Amino acid sequence: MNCETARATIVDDLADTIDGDTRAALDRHLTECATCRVEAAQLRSLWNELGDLEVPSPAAPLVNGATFMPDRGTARPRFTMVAASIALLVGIGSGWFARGAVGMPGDTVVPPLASESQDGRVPYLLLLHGPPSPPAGTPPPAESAVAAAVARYTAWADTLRMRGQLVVAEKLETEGGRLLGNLPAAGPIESDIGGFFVIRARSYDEAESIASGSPHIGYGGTIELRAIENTGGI
Amino acid sequence: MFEVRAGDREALARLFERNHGRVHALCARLTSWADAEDLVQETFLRVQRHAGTFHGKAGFTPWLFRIARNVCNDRGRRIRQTSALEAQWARDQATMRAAGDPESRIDRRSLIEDALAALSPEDREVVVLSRMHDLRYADIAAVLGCSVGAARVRLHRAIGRLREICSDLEGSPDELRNRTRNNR
Repeated sequence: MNCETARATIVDDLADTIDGDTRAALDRHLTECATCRVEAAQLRSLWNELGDLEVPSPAAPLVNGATFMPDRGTARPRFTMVAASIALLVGIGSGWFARGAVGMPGDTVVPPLASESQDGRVPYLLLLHGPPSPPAGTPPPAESAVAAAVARYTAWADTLRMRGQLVVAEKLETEGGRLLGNLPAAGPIESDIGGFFVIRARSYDEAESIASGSPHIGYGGTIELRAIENTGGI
Repeated sequence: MFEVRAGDREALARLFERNHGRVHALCARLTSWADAEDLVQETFLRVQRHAGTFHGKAGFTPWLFRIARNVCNDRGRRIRQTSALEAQWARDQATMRAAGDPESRIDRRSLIEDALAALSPEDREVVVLSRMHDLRYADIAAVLGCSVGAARVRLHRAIGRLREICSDLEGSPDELRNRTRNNR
């Protein structure tokens, strides 16, 4: 192997794979050629330094709110910070959750809520917290962004329903909640719970896996996962 | 991907969630960090529209990256070199990340960043695909639409030019600005 071939082979070794014979020939050449040894060291150093460079990634708020809005033949979708404005879904109706509710025509009949189903699955409650309300003065999201968000929640609920994992899903009204009973200070509820799902799973791990597929996390929200205890009926 | 071909919107959303980060990384290196987010969105729109053209022959990543590269080219932004302001920003980021590192290491990383930005777009893309996305020659060829041999030659040439630029920058701190200005 001559010096020119050796230098090309060094790059091949870094960028791809070289066979055993070629490697042996390269090693023999490097043993004999001090110039190419220096060359090899410099190339490897540069290669490592390139690998140390920062990988460009979306800014943190965009990572949390990253969503893709499929083309429906309307306005051009955008990579949008829906996380900060998903709270404005309030008032657009309950379509995205209601479609997943128990009792819809064609739905599978579900067993009583807290009991174990025949396949060993038990119910889990997913409380959907947040995401935080956008700062005052934040412009409302584009209609296309809201529609895309609704579509994603709906698609997720549909998927769970088709798999027989969904028991019920509802969106809560954001206004008019009340605290009752022996509370330090009754009054308007300060809650960030926007809705809930009840799903069926065989374990916390499976429930967590299912919940992790929710678009809510992608929009910057938090999901509180709780098993629903089977008390035998209260 | 085959679910996406069948029109499954949920599958498309999952595909986006799993891959938008690396598509963003590619677009940012081929164009600019500021343009990358729009280009990612456009890339996945094309994935949706052209899902029927994916047959799995060359693998998903080369197919996806080829679309992303075409998007970058079509936007006409690829010809632009990294501006001095962006280079300065990249240097600042590197400095913050490397707080506590020896000063020489910070400088070296900045130098490599500047050298990469100063490469021609054609050279930069092959370096980025190879080193930053770990694509082998065959996959690079699939992205670039060239032969495996041509991909190999392009990478060798690009690495050689990168070394030359690094050498220049080591000798002259102002070299990048001059080189960038001359390439515009």
